[in-house]
Amino acid sequence: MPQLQSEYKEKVKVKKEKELLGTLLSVMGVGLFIVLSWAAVYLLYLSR
Amino acid sequence: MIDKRDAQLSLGFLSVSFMALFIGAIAGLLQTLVRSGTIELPLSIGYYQLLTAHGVLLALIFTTFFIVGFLYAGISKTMGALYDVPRRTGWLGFAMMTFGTILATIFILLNKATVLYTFYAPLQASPWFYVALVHVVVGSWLCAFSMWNQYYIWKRRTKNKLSPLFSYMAVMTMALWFIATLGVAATVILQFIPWSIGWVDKIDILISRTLFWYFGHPLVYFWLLPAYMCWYVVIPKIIGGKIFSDALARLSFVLFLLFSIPVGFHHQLLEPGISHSWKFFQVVLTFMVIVPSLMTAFSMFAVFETAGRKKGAKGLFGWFKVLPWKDVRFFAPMMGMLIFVPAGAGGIINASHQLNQVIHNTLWVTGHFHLTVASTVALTFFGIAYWLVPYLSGRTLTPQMNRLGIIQTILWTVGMAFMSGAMHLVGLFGAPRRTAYTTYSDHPQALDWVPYQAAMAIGGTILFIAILLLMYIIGYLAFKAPKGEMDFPVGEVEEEAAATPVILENWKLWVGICAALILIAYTIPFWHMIEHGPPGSPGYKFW
Repeated sequence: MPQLQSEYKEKVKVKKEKELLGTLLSVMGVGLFIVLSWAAVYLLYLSR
Repeated sequence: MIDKRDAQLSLGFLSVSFMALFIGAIAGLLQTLVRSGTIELPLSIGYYQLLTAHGVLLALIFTTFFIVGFLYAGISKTMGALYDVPRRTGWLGFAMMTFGTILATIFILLNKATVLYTFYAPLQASPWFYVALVHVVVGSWLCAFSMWNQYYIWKRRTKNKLSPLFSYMAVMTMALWFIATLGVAATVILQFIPWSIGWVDKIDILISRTLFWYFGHPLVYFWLLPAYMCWYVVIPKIIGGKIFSDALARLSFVLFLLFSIPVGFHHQLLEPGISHSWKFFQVVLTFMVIVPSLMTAFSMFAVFETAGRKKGAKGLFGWFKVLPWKDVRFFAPMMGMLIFVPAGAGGIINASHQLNQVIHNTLWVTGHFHLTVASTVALTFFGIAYWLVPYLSGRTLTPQMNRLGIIQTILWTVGMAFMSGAMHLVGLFGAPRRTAYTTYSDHPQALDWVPYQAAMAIGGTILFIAILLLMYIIGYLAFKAPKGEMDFPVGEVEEEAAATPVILENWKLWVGICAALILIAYTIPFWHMIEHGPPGSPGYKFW
């Protein structure tokens, strides 16, 4: 019985991780936007 | 519905908040029209007088009153009706804050306190302006004590049960506020008041600015945390989802407390008298705030995706489409969240030592804080007001007001895109902030800025129309909307979320670490400032 419960929890976890792929990519997108914005102003700094 | 007496207390704070917003917005509109060269001010009204009114009434008064009102309502909702002592203390705080607000406004309108929002020395105001600010701050402390008292009694009566997430966040927000305002209270009481009365001739500018920014940066988080409370606790309920993780939400608030205070030097990167090594140290601490910010972003996207998938959304980003875009309670805060992405990126640029030299004291900075406080925070607060005002007044948000609210949000977003976008761009071209309209004797570079200043005026006008619409909606919801029961949306936590560790509610630990970080970040540089203190400056009144 405990083994069955553990397997069930594992399945739920895997399913949830799969469900959150869009979330992961969205946060990565936010991070990328921040890095690109920073780099753009850094290039401006270097050019001056 | 919460206890009627608590609803009245909350409504009292919200009323002053919206009055301040309206007066401050008029000043803002006039500022953009003057700055673009469109109008000249009549009746000896000064540009810098308007700037002070706009900054003080919006950045300090509108926000603080709204936040305290919102927190009282949420505490009453999640921990039950306020006990007598906390409620009475709350009203005392309200009286002090309102008195301070009226006094400060009078002296700004009399042109006796034209010292801008930052009230930097050596600009000198009437002593009554500083006395007024003390009333606002001490009044807010009474509100903090009252909320902590409510929390303490609640914990004792429930035998140390885990506090509701909203109330935990409220306690944390007021802890951050109290610790931060110690700095501004110190400079106002020990430096500005004796100097403005004439008890001392000179003021140490470096120390006054350092104490101001010790307060000034966490002030940004005092604005942001209640917006985060809406995102973490309220939005999941509105969209039909659940809070992703109670523990993650609490941990992010702990990290905001730790890393938003000992970081004021990143506002003083070009200030002489502070060594580069201490500036660097505080910049590193500043960047630590990125961690809870991205945790919040992850948590919110996860709530959206999980709720969307439960509604049958397909594909990688299908969940984005099924969000309730036509519900202003979601739409306004969501626009605030989206705007926070460029706002956050701009903040990281500002805090980077070299990049700060590109944008320091330019209109970029003005554009930046119009994205943070005037968009992310303001739009979230508007979204809250659309359900909180009718909830507290025993009325309902009608479909017609919901539609108007969506139009208001769109107007605000478009107006800010014009105004803040133009500010960011022209700031990169070197246009300074805190200046009235001038072409610097038709200098070619200054003439290049003029079209951007016109765009700022267009944006400012659209924003003012949005404020008029907001005032109409709020007035209608408070006094005219049909009577009925509104919901105070408080989300539930996902069943599969991990249990919340008790340590997250160990206040001695977190406040202790916070105090240690502040001492590490400030003790030695502050000692250097005193040891190598400059001769000080007399006061100046230019306008």
